[in-house]
Amino acid sequence: MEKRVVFKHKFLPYLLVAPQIAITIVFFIWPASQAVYQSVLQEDPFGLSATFVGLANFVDIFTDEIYLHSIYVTAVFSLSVAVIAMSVSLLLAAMADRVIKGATAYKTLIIWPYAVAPAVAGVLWYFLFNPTVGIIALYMKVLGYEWNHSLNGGQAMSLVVIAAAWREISYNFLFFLAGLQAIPKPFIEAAAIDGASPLKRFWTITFPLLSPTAFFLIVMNIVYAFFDTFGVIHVITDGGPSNATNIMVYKVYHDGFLGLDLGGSAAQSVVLMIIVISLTVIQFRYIERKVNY
Amino acid sequence: MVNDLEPADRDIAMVFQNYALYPHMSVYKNMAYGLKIRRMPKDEIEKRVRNAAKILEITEFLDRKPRQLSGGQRQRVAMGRCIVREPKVFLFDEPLSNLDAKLRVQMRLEIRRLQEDLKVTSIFVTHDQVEAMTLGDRLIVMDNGYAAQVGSPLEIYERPATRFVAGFIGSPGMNFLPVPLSADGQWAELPGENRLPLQNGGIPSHGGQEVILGIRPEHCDLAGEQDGMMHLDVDHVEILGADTLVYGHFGEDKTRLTVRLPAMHHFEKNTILPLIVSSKNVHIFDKKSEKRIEK
Repeated sequence: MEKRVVFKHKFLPYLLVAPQIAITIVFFIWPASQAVYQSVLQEDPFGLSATFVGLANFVDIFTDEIYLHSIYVTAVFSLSVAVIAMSVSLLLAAMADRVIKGATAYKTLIIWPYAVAPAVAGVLWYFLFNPTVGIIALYMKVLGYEWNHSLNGGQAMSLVVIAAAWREISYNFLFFLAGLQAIPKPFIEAAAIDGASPLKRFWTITFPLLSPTAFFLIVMNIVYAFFDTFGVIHVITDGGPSNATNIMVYKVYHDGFLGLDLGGSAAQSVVLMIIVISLTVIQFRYIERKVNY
Repeated sequence: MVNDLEPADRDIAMVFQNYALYPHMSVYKNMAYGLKIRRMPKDEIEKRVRNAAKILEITEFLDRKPRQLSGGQRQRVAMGRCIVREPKVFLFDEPLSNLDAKLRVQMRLEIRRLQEDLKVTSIFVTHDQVEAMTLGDRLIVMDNGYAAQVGSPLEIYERPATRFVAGFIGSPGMNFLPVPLSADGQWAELPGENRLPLQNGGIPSHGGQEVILGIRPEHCDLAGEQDGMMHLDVDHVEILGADTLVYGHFGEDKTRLTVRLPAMHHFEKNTILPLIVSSKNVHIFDKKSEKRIEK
């Protein structure tokens, strides 16, 4: 029996996929290919002339100490965001899983931050920690801790990490909660009869069963920290002080649109593109084959 | 009383209905988990697990994950996980309900054998009356959260305490006929105007009242045309090989009756079968309380 839907019309199937293709071409293929093209060109700041320079732009960025520093900053930033966002959300999800009364309201509240745009989240945290008007900065001053993220690189990094992780906690929470609720209760009951304490049960039974979810979230969180946190950085620190929070995606914007080094900026975005493609490959390869019990 | 004790402190082990084997651990680790938690020395754990694996014949699967095992093998692992703990009580929560019919019979025998070897008190929950009859030394029939009867399997079969228990044990289920007793309680009036004399002086306490008469399908026998007490109008026949189930009705108000006759019989529909039942094999229940009325 032929069960497939067969279109008699030759033109219709193309018409049906056309919108998707058009969007992909306009918003992905075209800019991506432009970036690859520009990454091998040297352009003057006014865009009047361009010369082909081969891989010189790549050699330039990888010998540039600021760029290497930016890679380091990105690594610290994304790992911190991923670790904080995942551990906090796991804790919240584990607790929400046990709540029975008012569970819906509780869950809804935790999911809210995800509805806040990254830039707005950045502004919120910026005001809370603002050395002049911020209420948290004020309390810290009362406790004798001087907070000024526009001078102290470490503090600036902490602040953008908090602001970026805050939003991601909601996202992770949803997945962890769904993951927890999918674990059949008899496993936990069996472990309880076997004599495992609640904490032991969590680490030896629940967590291993959550590992596929956790691995998926690690990749998602790193991708988020790499790319979607531009707004947070832009609003709070502008990559400063002295490049302390200048993550790679911010540097692409900074060098390209403010520094007008189009070739160097394009080379940087090609590097980013390679990173995200490899992350995606890892996710599809690894999550489907290896994390499997 | 264990009400105030945590599950871990009750010294029990449980086989779950779906086995609840930890899917991310090998069979060996599944069995060793409880011992590891209790900080037993490694070589002692190894000894116990190997020993249990040998008893259950799962030694070759020790390195496999539960998903690589068949239903019967998982069942053994779940039991192995209990055996290694050497607890005071085994709990079985319908452990055979996920197996196919053939495996179920086999595992039933193995559980019985194992229980006799290990001599550990076991509580076995089941919906399957064959399992209940064959595995139990003592049977508790639960009805809506209450223990309707406690006793040996045969006791429960022969002297069911309530109508519920009577209908629950035995396959096909017992026939229940509402019948009036004679004024002196010496006999019951069957549909179709036949009398069933009651043994041991009858039940004068219920004379003249209506009671429920319970007759097991296997206690009806074919009779000669003259001495039949019930003349069954056959609706439907199931031939099972060793014996034959006959479904039919009799009397004016078409009382339904199921009869199990030994050996092969073939009956046409609407055949009238004369049947007798021995009065020593009938059960009488109170109509209101549905409790057994002792003769």
